[in-house]
Amino acid sequence: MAGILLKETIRWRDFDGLLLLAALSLITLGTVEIYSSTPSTGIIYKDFWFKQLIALGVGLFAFVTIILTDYRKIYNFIPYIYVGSLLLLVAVLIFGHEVKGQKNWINFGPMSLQPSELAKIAVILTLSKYLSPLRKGNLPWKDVAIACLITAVPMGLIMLQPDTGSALTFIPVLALLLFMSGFNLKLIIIAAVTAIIVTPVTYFQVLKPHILKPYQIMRIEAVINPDLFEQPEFRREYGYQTLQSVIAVGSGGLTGTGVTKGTQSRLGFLPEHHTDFIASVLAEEMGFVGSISVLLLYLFIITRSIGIAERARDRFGMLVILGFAGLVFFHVIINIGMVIGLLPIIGITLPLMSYGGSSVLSMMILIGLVININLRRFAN
Amino acid sequence: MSKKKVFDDPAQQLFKPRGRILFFKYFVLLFFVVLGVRFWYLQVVNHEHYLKAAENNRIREIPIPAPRGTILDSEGKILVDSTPTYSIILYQEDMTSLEDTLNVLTSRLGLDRNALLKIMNAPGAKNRPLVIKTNASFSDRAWIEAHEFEHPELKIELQPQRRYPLGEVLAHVVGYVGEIGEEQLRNPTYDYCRPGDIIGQAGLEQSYNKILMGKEGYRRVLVDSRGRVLQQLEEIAPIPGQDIITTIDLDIQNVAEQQLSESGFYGTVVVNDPRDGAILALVSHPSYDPNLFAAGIKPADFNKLVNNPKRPLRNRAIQDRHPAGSTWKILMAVAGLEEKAITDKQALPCGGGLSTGGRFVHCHGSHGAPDIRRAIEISCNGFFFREGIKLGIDNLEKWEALLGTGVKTGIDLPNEIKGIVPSRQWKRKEYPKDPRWKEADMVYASIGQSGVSTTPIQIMHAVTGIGNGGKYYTPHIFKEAKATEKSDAIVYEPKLRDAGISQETWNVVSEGMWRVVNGSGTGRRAAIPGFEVSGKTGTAQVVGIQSGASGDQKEHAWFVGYAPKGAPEIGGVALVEHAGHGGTESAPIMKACFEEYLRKKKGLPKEELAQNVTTDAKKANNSVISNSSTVVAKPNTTRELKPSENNKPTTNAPAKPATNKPVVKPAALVQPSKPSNKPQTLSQTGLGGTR
Repeated sequence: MAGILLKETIRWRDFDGLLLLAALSLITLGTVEIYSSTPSTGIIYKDFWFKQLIALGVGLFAFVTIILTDYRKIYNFIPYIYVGSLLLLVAVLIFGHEVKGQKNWINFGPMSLQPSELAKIAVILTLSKYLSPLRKGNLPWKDVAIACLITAVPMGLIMLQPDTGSALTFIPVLALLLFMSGFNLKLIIIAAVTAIIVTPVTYFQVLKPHILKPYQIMRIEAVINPDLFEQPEFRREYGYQTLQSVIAVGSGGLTGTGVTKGTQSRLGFLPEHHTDFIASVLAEEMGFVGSISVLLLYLFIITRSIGIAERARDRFGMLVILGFAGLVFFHVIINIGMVIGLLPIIGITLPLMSYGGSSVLSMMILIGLVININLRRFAN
Repeated sequence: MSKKKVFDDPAQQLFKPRGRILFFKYFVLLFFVVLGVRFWYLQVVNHEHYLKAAENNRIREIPIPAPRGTILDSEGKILVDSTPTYSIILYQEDMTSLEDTLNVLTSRLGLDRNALLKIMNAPGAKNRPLVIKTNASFSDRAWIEAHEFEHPELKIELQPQRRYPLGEVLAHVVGYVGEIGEEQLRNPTYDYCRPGDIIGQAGLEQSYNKILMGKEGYRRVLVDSRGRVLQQLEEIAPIPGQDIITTIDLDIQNVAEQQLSESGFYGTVVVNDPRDGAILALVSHPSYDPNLFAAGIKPADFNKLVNNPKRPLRNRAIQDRHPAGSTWKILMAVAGLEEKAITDKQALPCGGGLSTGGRFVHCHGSHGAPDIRRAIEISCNGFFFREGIKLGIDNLEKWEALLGTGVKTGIDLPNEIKGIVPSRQWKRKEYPKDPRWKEADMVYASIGQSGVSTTPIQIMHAVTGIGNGGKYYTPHIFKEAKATEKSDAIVYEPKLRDAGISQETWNVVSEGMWRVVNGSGTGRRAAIPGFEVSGKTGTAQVVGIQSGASGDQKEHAWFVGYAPKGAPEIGGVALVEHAGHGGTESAPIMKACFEEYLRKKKGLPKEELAQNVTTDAKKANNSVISNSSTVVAKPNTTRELKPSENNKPTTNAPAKPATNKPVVKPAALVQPSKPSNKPQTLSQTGLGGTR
C-alpha cells in the first residue's frame, strides 16, 4: 500500500545527488584527516578513521531508509521520536560512559551512541511540527513559550551530562525556526538595534573596567587583535589551544603540508585534533585551497537546503530543512570561528567532518530528510 | 491535528516567509565571507609567520657547549681546566604554568624566587634555554628525571664547568668566568657572543676569551607538544676552544706564592724573562678562589669579595700604584748619563741631604761624595737630588717615556692601569694653585716620590729592560694557543722596543745594580753566589711617618732586579706592603724565585736546592686555598731549614693579624679601593709637601 503511494509521488529526478555528494565529500575529507592525525592502533577496527567509515555505512543505511519513507509518515511518529530521545537522554545520565567528567555516550558493546546528536533531530522535527500550522499575524507568545519548552527539556538534560557545547546548538535552531514561523519582526529589529548599541557600551563601561578579568578581556580583544595570541601571559593562561590551532591553520599556507605531514596535529600541539579541531588539521595539511573548498561545500549544503526549503511542498518540510540548515550553519560558524581564533573555545564539533559516529548518523538522517522532502515536493 | 488536515491545507503550501529566508541566506553568506577572509589572512598573508611559529614549536635547538680551552703553564701543567657537571636547564617555552614551575624550583631545588624571576625575565630569556642551577646534586637530578612528564620544561644537561685546581694560586692571572653581562653584550668586542654565554670576566680568561671559548654547537631536535624529544634532526658539533700555553712557570709561581704568604704580608711578586717579556710568575696577595665564580657566584660571596678592605680581587701587580721610591734612581741614573747631566766618573756630594724650597730634605745617611755606581749601591738620596737638578724635568720626561714608564706596559691582562710620572703637566694638573715646576719638585722626583707612582709591573718592566741593555719586550703571559682540528696554532711574537741606551750607560748602571746586591748595598739578601743578581731596593712611603712606624703605617718594600748582570735571563719585582725596607722583606723573595729558576735551569731535583720547598709549597697552597683571610706567617722553624734564608732574622717577620685582631685604621689611611690618579702618598709624606 505504502509502496503504491510512494511510486506515485516520488520524482527521482528531484533526488538531489549534488547535496548528497557534497555531504559525502566532507565526510571523506574528514575521514582522511582523522586518519592523518590519529596514530594507528595497529588493529584496524579500533582506528578512528575506520570507525568513522563504519558510522558512515550505518549512516548511509539510515539515509536510504529515510529516503524510502514518506516524510509525512514520519510526521505522525514525531511525538514518539521526541519522547524516545528524551528517554535516551535520561538513560545516558544513568548508564552513560563517563569520559573527562562528562557522560555523553551510551555503550552498546563495541559501538557507542551519543543521544544528544539524535536529540537534535528530534527537536528539529518536533519544533517543525509544532510550528508548521500557519498562525495569523505574529507568532503568539503562547506558541513561543511552548516551542521554548520543547527545546528546553532536552537541552536541560544535555546540560546535566554536562555538555554545554551541544546544548548551546539548540538555541540558534530554536531562534531560526521561531523567526521563520512569524516571530514579531519589529521586536527582532528592536532587539537587534538595542544589542548593537548596548553591547559595546556595556563592554567598555561596565564589563571591561569592573567585571571581566584581564585574561578574559584579552580573550575578547584577541578577536580583533590577533597579536595578543603571541603574548606569553595570554598563551599560558588561556589561549594555548587557540594559538596552536591558529599556527596550524597559518602554517598550512596555500596548499598545505600534505596529508599526514602536518606537524601541529601529529606532534600533539593541536588539542582534540580529530574532533573539535579537525578543520585545523585540514587547514594545515591541505592549506587555503582545502579550507576554502570545505567552506564552499558547507555553503553549498546550506544554500542548497535553503533553496529546497523554499520549494518544499509544505511548511513542515520547509521548517525541517531550515532547522537542518541552521544547525549546520551554527556548527560551522562556531567551530571554524574557534579554529581560526575568532571565537572562544567551546566544545562544538564540525558536522560531517569531526570524528563521531552519532554525529555522522544524525547528519545522514537529516540530509536524508532534506532530500526526502525534495523528492516529494509534488506529492499529494 | 490529523495528517490530512495539515498537509492538504493550501495555506500550508502557499505561505513561505520568502523575505526572511532571503535574509537568512545573506546572513549565512556574510559569515562565510568572514571565515573565508580570515583563512586567507592566516594562510596566505601571514603564512610565513605561522610557518615559523610551527617550526619553533617543534624544532628545538639544544645547545652543546663548546669545551673551553684549558690553560697550561709553560711546561704543560694544568692551571685551569673544565669538569663536567650537571646543570638544570629551564625551557620557558614548555612551561605550562609560571607559578607551578616557580613553586617547584623554590621548594624542590631550593632556588631563590626573585633571582629566578630575574633570570627568566632577562631580555631574550623566553626563547632560550636557561641554566638555573649548576652543580645539580644527585637528588636534584633524580627528582627532575622522575618528574619529566609533569615538568617537561626542566631538563638535566651535562655541561662543562670551569675548574681552577690551584684555587687562589694564580687567580689574578687566570681570572675567572661568568655569564656575559648586558653591557658586554652591547660591546662590539663581544659581537661573537650571545646572551647566556659564559665568558672570561678577568685575567687571561678575559684577555683570550675568544681563543678559549670556542663555538657552541647544537642539536636540532624534533619535539612534541610536551617538549619531549622525538627525534634528532642534526647535530652540529661544537668547535672546542683552544688550549693556551702560558709563560707561567708553576714552580717559580709556587715559590713566589709561598714566599709572599710566609712573609705574612700582602703584596705582589712578578717574575719575568727580560729576553722576551715572558711573565714567569705573578702573585698578588690576598687572593680569591676563582672556583667561586665558576659555579655562578652567590651575591653574598661576591659582595664579600668586593667589600673586603684588603681588595682580594685587585691584581696588585698591574692595578695598584705606589711611589717608586729608590727604585726610581735607576731610571734617574740612565737619564742622567744619557743626557750627559753627569758622567760615570763624576762625584756629587751627598751632604746628608739638600736644602730646597725652604726645607732641608734628608738623605738617610751621610755618604761623602759618591760616584754614580756608588750612589746606586748605597741608594744615596743626596747624590740623586743633585743629579736630578742637573738633569732637569724636561730631560727626565723624555726618558720616562723611553724607559716605558707613565704608560701601560701592555701586559696581556685586562684593566692594567697607567703609572704616573713627574712632568710639568702633572704638576699643573695636581697643583693648580702652584702649577710651576720647581727645584723642590725635581728633588722629590729624583728619589721616586713626588709624582712618581707606578705599578709594580711597570717598575719591573723599566728596570729589567735597562738590565737588558734597553731592549724592552712587552710583558706577556700568552705563549701559544695549541692547534685544534678546526683552528690553527697561534704563537706569541715577542714585541721589542729599543730605548736606545748606550753601551757605556748600560755598563755603569748595571755595575751599580750589581753592587746593590753583591757589594755593600741594600739588596744583599738577594745575592746568589755565581748568579750575579743585580737590582735595587726601595721603600714606598705610605704615610707621613717615615721610619720606625709599624703595622699598616709602615712603608711598602720594593725590590726589583734581574740576573745575571749583563745578560739577564730572569728578572722580577716584589712589592711587600707595609713591610718596611725592601732589602729586608722583598729581596729574599726575589732571591727564592731566582734560585728556583736556577735550580730548574741546572736540572737539579727540587730536594737539592731547597729541600723543603715542595712540602712547604703544598702547605702554603693548602692554606691559601682554604681561606685567604687566615694567612699568617708560617712558624719560623720551617723557614730556618732553608739555606737561602739563613741571614734573615727570624724575629723580623711579624705575623700580620688579618683576622685575629680587628684592624683599626683611621679613615684617612685606608687606601682608596679604586685606582686614583693621585699618588696616594704625596700629600701625606713630608717629602712631597710643596704646598
